Amino acid sequence: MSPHRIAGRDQGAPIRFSFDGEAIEGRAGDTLASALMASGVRLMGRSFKLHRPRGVVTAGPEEPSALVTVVRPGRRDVNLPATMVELFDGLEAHSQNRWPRLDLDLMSVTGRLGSLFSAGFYYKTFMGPQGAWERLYEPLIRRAAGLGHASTEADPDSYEIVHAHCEVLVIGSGLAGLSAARAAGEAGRRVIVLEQDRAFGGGALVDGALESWRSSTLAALSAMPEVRMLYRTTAVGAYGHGVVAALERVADHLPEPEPFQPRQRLYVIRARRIVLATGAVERLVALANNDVPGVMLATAARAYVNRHGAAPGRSAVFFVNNDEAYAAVRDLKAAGIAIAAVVDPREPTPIAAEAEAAGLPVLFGHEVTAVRGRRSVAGVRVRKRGTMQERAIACDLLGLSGGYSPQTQLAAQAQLGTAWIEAIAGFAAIGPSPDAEAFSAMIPAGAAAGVFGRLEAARHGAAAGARAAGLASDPAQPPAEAREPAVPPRRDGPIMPLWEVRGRGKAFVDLQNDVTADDMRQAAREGYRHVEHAKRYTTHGMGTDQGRTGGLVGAAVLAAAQGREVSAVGLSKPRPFVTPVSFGALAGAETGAHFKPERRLPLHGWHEAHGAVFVRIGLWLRPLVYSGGDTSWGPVVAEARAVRSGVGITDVSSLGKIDVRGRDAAAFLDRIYANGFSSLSVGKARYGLMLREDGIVFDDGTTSRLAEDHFIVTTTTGKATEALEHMEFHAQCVWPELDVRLANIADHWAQFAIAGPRSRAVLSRIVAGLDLSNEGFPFMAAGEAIIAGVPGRIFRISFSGELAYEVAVPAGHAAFVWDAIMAAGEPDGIRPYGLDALNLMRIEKGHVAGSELNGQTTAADLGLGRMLKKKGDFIGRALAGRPALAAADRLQLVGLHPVNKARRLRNGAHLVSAGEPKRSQGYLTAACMTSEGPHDWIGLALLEGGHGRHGERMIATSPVHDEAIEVEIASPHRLDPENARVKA
Amino acid sequence: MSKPERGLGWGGLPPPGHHGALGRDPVKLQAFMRDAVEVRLAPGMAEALRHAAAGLGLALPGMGESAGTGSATGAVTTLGLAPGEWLALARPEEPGAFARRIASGLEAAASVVETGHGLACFSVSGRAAREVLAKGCRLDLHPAVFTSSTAARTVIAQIPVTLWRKDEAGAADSPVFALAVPLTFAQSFAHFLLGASAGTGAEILPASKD
Repeated sequence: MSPHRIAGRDQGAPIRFSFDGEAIEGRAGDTLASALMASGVRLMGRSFKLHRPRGVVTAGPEEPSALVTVVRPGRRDVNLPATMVELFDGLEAHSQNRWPRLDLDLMSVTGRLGSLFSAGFYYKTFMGPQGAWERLYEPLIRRAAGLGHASTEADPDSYEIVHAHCEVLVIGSGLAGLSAARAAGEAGRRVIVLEQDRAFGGGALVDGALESWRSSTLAALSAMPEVRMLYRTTAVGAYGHGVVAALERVADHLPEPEPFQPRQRLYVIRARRIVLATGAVERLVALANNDVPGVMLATAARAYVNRHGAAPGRSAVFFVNNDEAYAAVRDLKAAGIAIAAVVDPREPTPIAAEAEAAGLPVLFGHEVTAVRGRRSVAGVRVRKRGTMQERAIACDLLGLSGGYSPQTQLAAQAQLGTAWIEAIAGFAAIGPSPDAEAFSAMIPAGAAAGVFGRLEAARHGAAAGARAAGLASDPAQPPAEAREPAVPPRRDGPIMPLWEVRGRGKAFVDLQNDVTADDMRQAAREGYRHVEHAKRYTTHGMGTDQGRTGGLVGAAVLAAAQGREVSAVGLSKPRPFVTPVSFGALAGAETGAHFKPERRLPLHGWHEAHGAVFVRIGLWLRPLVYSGGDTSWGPVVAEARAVRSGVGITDVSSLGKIDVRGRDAAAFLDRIYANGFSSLSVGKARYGLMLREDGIVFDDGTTSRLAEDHFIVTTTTGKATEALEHMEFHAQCVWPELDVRLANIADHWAQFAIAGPRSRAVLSRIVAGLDLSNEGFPFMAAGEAIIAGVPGRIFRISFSGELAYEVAVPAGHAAFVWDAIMAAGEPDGIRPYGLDALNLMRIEKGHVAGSELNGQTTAADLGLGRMLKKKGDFIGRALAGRPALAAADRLQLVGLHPVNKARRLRNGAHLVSAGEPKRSQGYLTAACMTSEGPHDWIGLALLEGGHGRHGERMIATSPVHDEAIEVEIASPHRLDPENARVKA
Repeated sequence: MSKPERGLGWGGLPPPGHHGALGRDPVKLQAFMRDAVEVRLAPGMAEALRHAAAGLGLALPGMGESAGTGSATGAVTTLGLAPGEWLALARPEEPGAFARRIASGLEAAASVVETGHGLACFSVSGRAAREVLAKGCRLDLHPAVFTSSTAARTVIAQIPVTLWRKDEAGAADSPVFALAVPLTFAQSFAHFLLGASAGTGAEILPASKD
């Protein structure tokens, strides 16, 4: 057995692991810290800034010093407190921030120059010359300072976010937490208990007298079906109204997650009431060299002895200012560790006097002034308070206890108050005040509320649990003694607030960020008097441990430097997260291709099977071209030519579709659209333009009237959701007096455009119940029909500029109808066309689309100014009349083509004049190869005063492509400006 | 010409069989189809609608009952979506038949708009169903809160969802949750369901019209 194991407490099965490449054996139930301690390893890391040797200080997540990197295949987790790393077979851990080795750190020279590296050092030192910070100083500092280095590879693990609900959430499972959970559970409430440790019990885990209470309480809780106990789960943030985020380390204690198991799980918990039973964390005392490996908090030393059978040293000195810490002294002594001295600055209290009477060497009225030793504690210097005469005491462990700070971070986030409690010399959670109660929903209990003592905390917790469960406290009801721990009431004497013993040597108040008491005084001297300013100036409390062990100590030093009370200076605001949270857990399952959902057309499978190249537009996946992967212009032009010369079919199901009904449907659309719809006859469709309130074009689309009180509105794909919301808002909130009822029918109807001179012939073969002749169903007609046996709707509208129909059928019949149209069109050579060909044809026709409806253009800019109705109000009418929106030099829609027709045009190219090559007068919004000439290019552009500049020659310049192409401005309506084709 | 057969309108869940982890009580996942209409009350017609709905044997939650509840009357399930707004669902019939029946029964008291082909419906059932849905659903699905007559609209995995319980009252131990999402989101929603149920395991059932 290792000499660092305590005899008779070496029971777990052996587990092999490595630290910095050295093979070591630990025991089941060990943390990395306890296993290293039990094998005699003291030096676990180097400090952040000064590279000083550091060992383990605590036994929990508040650990400031023993931060390690754990490496697994494909994984590299950094800055993990060794106190929270559970041992598993094959664990590979590495120390951090040392070069080349932990025991020979050449960077530790910075430690010896430490007096230079005081607060504000960087701000004052690395000031000039200009640019040197980025090029020289920052890279240098980054190499010298810092902790672990994260993996640069993709994270192989999965994560999940889970929503949970309960009536009573209990945070912490110590005496108060378990008592609260039991009280609420017995009241029949749905309870969730969160425990950050791998076992429930909190302080009861290190106190043998509480073991039977712990196990009987846990047995009672596990018998309650509505009580859920989550361990390895840390509440990391409280957000008000009972919302708490908690991180469960599901598989961090395993070599890798089980199949289908996430590595971590982030809970979003919505609780009616929260019992905050987060306990308290022991504080260090600022004294010279209080960071030497072997300086440890008294509670931590006790935990290693009692939980792990690991000996934190062989000969200990304790420096304590309170009676609670004597439990640690007693337990270490019982474990066979020599107690060289207990240094207590107070007068004897009953408990301390008993300890002395039991044979412990207690030095009352004394203080430790410095720690001796460099890489390991060799002894301490002690003196009687108020005297200068010091003496040395040899030891290899200094157990420090400066008191206990209630863990109030979550309380502060939930806007619970904190109050200074003199009896514990700390801030405890109080409240909530009546006006904050609904928001905070939180009841503090036990040590978090400043209630120390085992029996007292259990009772306080039970009362908080009952209150959270909504039970009225009944003074006639005697306390349920069977549920309380069998321990006597607290009879501790008073604590003596003791923050710092001034001496020679660095006295740390923040071990992780290497902040000393002197740094805090310097901050005060230089004007950073507020605790928040001092924090930012010194980095005090900004580490992964958030300054748990020294936060109040630093505040007290800052207060003393200003001659103020620490209760008046206070603590800095603790924002979420309370402990570090991985990005993976925050992202959950929504990563990579699933960062956002994807929308697929009902015919996605058909398109895929027919060689579609898909393009993602917003959430949609749409067929760009049916070419089997060829993304050159050839297949696009071929598809467009097929339409222009024969017939083609394209899937326009992604268009927004809104069913508008009601007596006032027409009046409603008159107000929503800039043009009118009251005048539209039943059985007809009309193009409509929607403006925003500010007069800019919002959306466009066709609207068809199927009955006096029934319209079908289509919107663009991109604005479908916004347009529906816009209409619902106005129907419900702005004009509630109108009888208009909207329904989103976008996904119910699949819609196809069948376009080309042969489209009528093809459709006539499968359409029943509708006369498709030009007279019977002219351009802009709309009606219901049976298409291939399926009841649907047909609209004679055209985006391509050809004779065209849009056919709508219920989506579950889309494949059937599409196949029927393809079969009916086979004699005419029908072929599908994608978004590129659709776009090509609309550019030829001069129709506007998303790149022109860009949130900056007016109807007049797009050449649609005459659509605005002269009579009657509509959204955007007033502001569309602003002078700036009618200025002559506005960017206006034009067509253009290169003078050398085969020169390729590019979207985004700027239009400049030859005389002024650096002043952009507009830009190309769309460009394509045409369906006409062999390799001709055309485009659309927005150009200053463009409506009056047809025929002008300009340069389309694209500096990123190093291109300048001479173009001629023209009308955007290049193809069939008389609209003869669509009316054929 | 062959008779038109209604399809799911999306790619569907993976083939029937087991998915995900073994050894736990797996949930059952199934895609199903419904005819559906959105019913919206015409202004001032509440009394007429109540009367007309009674004539059809249609229970409209919120018309005298509490809002937001689902109600299955015979073959028709009606879900209260908003004040004066309901979704009525039924097993697939001949194209348009369900909508025509409801529309003619309700006449001018409400507008009736067919939306069923635009909905992809899923059922998630079994002891672990709540646990699976909790990986995306922010609502409390505890049987005491989300009862067998509850319906809700929410967002799961960034996708709008209409959620109700398909089981009979008293089946708290093994609930059947039904979820309808816009058809074009179905594939992404299926991805969510498969991911969320991988840890408990899932038994995928063939798509159904029942």
